[in-house]
Amino acid sequence: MSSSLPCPVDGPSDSEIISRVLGGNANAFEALVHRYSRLVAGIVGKHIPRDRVDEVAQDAFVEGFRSLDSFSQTSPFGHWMAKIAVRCCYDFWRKHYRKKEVLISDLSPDAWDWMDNLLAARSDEIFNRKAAAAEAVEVLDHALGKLSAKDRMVLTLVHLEGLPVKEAAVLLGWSQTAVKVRAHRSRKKLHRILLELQDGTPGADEGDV
Amino acid sequence: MKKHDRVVQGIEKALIQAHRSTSQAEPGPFFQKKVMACILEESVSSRVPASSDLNTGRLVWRLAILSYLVVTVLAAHLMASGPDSQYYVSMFILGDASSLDLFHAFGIM
Repeated sequence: MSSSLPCPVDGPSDSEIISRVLGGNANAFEALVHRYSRLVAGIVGKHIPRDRVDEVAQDAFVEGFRSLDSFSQTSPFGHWMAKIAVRCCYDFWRKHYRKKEVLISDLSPDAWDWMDNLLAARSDEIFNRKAAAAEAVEVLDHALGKLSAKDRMVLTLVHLEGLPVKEAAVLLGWSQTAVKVRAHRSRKKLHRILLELQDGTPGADEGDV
Repeated sequence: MKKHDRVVQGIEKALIQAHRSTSQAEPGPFFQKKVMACILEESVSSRVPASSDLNTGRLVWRLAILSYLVVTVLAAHLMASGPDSQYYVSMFILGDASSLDLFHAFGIM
């Protein structure tokens, strides 16, 4: 995640802009939005459906603006915004699970075929092509939709994106132990869901938000 | 390894690849404008506390605590002194010195 931080740019430094904003010039924040919008949208896009990315990324910037006086400047502003973006994604799923707005759609016939045929792939090239298919994303969304907000976030960060537990813990603001335990459990739940899909039986959500 | 474990791990591997191969999301065309409109609205309703505002706030609180302490010490000192002072304090605090007689009648003071 840190690799996607924007390169240093001309103009005032982040800390200069932050000082101006804290001094009462809210318009100065636009430079930070301009500098970090791709980073924040990129992070949010890994967790949230594409049609809601702008909304959650906007929430992240507003939250960043609100709590700017708590930014200690001991780490780069981009890292701080990344944490806020991840927590906004978590809040998004938490709210949606509470409101029961998460719709678990049935898999399309193509997605069922994709699962059936995936393991029949005889070469890595065919397997990779199948993995890049739209049906894979459909199956993934379906499986993630059956997980709680916490499981979903940890599974996405640790297993799908491959972040180290330490980094995921920093982003989520949880302890490393909590992330490790949650990552293990969420992966088991994913396996159970996939197994149930493979057997053709509907998987049940574990319940916690 | 059981067959179904192998199957599940195969699907999992494909899903991880699917997730990593999705293109990076880009902010929409008017994203920056929308964010700034929201932030400016936010700044009007609840201004980001400037450091000078924080200092003023602290000063006001300190003055309030100091005034409270001065009044309490003064009142305690006057109450401990003679009856004339007690009337003054009653006037000062209650705005009604005659109530002091009532207190005395009931043995409160």
